Amino acid sequence: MMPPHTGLFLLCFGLIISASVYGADPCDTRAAQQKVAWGKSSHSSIASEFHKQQVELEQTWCHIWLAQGWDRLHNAEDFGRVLVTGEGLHPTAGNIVPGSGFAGGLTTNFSRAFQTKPVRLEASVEARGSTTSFWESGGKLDVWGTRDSRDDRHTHAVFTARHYGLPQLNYFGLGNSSAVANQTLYGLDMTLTRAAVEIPVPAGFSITGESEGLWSDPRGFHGSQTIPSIDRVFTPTNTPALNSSTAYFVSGGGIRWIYPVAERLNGYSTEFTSSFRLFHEASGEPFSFRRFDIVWIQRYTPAARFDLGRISAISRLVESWAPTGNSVPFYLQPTIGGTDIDNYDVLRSYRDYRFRAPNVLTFQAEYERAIRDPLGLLLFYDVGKAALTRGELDISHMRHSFGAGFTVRAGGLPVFKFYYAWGGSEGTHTAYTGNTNNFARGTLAGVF
Amino acid sequence: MPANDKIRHIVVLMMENRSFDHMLGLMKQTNPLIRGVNVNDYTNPITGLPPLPVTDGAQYQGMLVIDPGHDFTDVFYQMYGVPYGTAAPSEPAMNGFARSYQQLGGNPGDIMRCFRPEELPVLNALASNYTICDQWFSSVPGPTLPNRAFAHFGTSFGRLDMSPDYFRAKPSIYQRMKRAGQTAKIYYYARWSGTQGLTFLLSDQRNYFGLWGDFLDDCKNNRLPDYSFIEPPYYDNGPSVAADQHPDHNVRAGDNFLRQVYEAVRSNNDLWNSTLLMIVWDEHGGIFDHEIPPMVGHPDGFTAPAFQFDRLGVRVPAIAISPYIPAGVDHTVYEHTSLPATVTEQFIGDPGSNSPYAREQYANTLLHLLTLPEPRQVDIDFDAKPAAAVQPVSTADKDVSKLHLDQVNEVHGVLKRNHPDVARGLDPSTVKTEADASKFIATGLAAIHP
Repeated sequence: MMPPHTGLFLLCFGLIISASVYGADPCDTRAAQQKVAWGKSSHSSIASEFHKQQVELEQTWCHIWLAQGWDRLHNAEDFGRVLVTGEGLHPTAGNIVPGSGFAGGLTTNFSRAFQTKPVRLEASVEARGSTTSFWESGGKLDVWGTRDSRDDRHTHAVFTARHYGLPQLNYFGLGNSSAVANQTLYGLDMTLTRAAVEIPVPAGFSITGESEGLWSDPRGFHGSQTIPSIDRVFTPTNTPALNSSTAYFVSGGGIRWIYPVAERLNGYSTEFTSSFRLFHEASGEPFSFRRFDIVWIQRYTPAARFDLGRISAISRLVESWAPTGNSVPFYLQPTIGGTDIDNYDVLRSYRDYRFRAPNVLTFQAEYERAIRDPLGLLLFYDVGKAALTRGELDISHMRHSFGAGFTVRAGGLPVFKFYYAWGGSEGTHTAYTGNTNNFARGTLAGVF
Repeated sequence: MPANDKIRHIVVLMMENRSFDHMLGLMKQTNPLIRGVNVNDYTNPITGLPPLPVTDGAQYQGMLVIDPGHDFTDVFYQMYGVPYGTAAPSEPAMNGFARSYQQLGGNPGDIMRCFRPEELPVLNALASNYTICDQWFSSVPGPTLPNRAFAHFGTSFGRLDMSPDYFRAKPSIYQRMKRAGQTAKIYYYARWSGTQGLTFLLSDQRNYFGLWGDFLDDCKNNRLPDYSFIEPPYYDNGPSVAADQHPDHNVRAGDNFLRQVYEAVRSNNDLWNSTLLMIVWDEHGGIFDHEIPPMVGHPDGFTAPAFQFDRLGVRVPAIAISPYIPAGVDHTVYEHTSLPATVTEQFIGDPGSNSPYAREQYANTLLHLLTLPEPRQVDIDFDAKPAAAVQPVSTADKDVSKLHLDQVNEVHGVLKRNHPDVARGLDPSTVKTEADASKFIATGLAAIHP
């Protein structure tokens, strides 16, 4: 089954509607001829996948111009499906990190399974660049065990190699009291290779483990006409590793708990993730540290005939320890405010990456319900604190923001959010987030 | 047929892309009533090699690495044995499956492979204990979404494409049930699993949708709606692997999913004693089946440039499960419009006057299968080996047939011409049994069609 795909293509290709004349179907005839010709010689399975995609692209493109009215729209959508989903080579679009602007690129995806081993693979390679010179490239291999499992939970390993080029990221200084007036820009090159595994155990628990190589190179002197470069305002004394590249060997493990194991719309659900990681600086720089990270998400939807909405409470705690003489590089410290580098949004009225420190504590409450399906109402309240020391991690002097917005819902869940956030004395923030996951992962998972 | 007063719930699980012969055909060995296959019963020609017979030896995964073609032109080739756009015989011969897969770059022998009953313990336990509908055809000789549209609407509105957009299509069986004061819901596996229903059930989503966990809860707490349609796990995600059985997803994972659905219904006696559970596949996925799809008796008037919607698609597995249904085989011709027609007949009224489209109005319904006056308590031990009644007869140890031996020699001849290195490693004189022959041919074809 090829599933629904993104609204972008519905929009783009849906506009191609005009009169046309029905007749015999030369598109299908040509596709059939191309397949026959391909079958006359031997090819590798990967070459055959590419050829199949090429034939289907031509066939569905041809169908657009053969049809008329709504059928033309459907055929345009079908072309979009072949273009962006399934195995083969596909264009991708989106951002890279918050502030990177629009990015586009190419990805190629393949999946394979073994007859003789209970293992299934999905591989992706992707490269993407943005209009503001951000770029990323990399590859990912997902490996699943496929032995019998009564509850469809299997060991899952992910091997990743990525490189990011991020020329301009916001930096305001460290801690909860950093001033917005101190906004500067820095650049960062980052390369990582990572192996991670999740092993399900009974009662919804999983044990996780990871091993990672992480190379980071902060590159200053990336100010704009209005915002200075980081080195013009900050020094290595108040910004650890300001001019230092680092090379880490990271190892760690953790626990994940999901209740209930089978996802549901109604009732309570809990997702708890914790990890402990050792960041060993391997090049001799004084930046080794350890990090403890917990995310706890609690959701409740009353089981009633009428939609009473869904309440979510999301808590996150990050604590870091650095041995004597060591510190956590500023570019590896978690951020809150707007959206962080992993696209996690908290304190949404603030600018992206607004507060940064080795330790972070946040609480978020969200309420979402249908106004008139498919439109929904979203209300939220965020509080958070970025603390320079673990002793400062308490609930005093927390930053806060709140907001309201609309959602577009499908299948009883929001797939698109548009919100306006305010509070916190640094202005307001209007943002939208799309989550087309509810329309299914129309393609094999990309790298990013 | 009047509604059955014992049935308060109809549950449909629609899996993905497997043909009847592939999944259930070899049960014929132990139950001759089933219109299935024996090994070597049928062959499909391929280019440059001897015809390929139906064999056992289907694999759970890794066999159909290249997804077999199943759009309209592919299925046309599979049914008529000639490429779309060329002169075709008036009746399908069901002899183009191997060539269709060969031309996509797949190993054509794999498209003829079937599962032995013991390899799919859940499916075969259910098939042995309830009624196999061995004349259930996909509604259209084409891909997933038009076929699923027939299950949701009773028509695909003349569409053969794979766009998921059915925004303007109304009324679906869910909306018709609501209008009639009944309840109907689509349960999908997880927030990333997707469903065609997301595009046409935009209002009152709370009552039209649930996730897999909601289905389990609703079964347990007697909250199941009158009609439930279950979407299987379509994608790998986190620790879950796709269990919809679409090639090349793990078939055994899908077999376990059937068990989860059955046990969710079976574990609540109140629910079990008032439920008809249908397990059916949406289309054959390009895999061989020998039954010729019949003409459509009452077309719905929708047509496409390539197809008049006047013939059904390839046959798919289907099992009707209820405590009021005896073990057996039903040869009634069904297609996916039989699902909304049955729901209409049970909960709304005569489909002839209450269904909006002709295909559904005239579709055979399933209520006549509920023949038992009292609920039959069947306790299936899925972990046990297949019951003696369905003990399969393996042909693997039998002496190789002349047909099979001829194919071995012809494959070897082609290898000698085109792949002499491989040919030197294979000796036809060592082939003594059917299993030897199957292995020889598979090895040879893998070299010829890497």
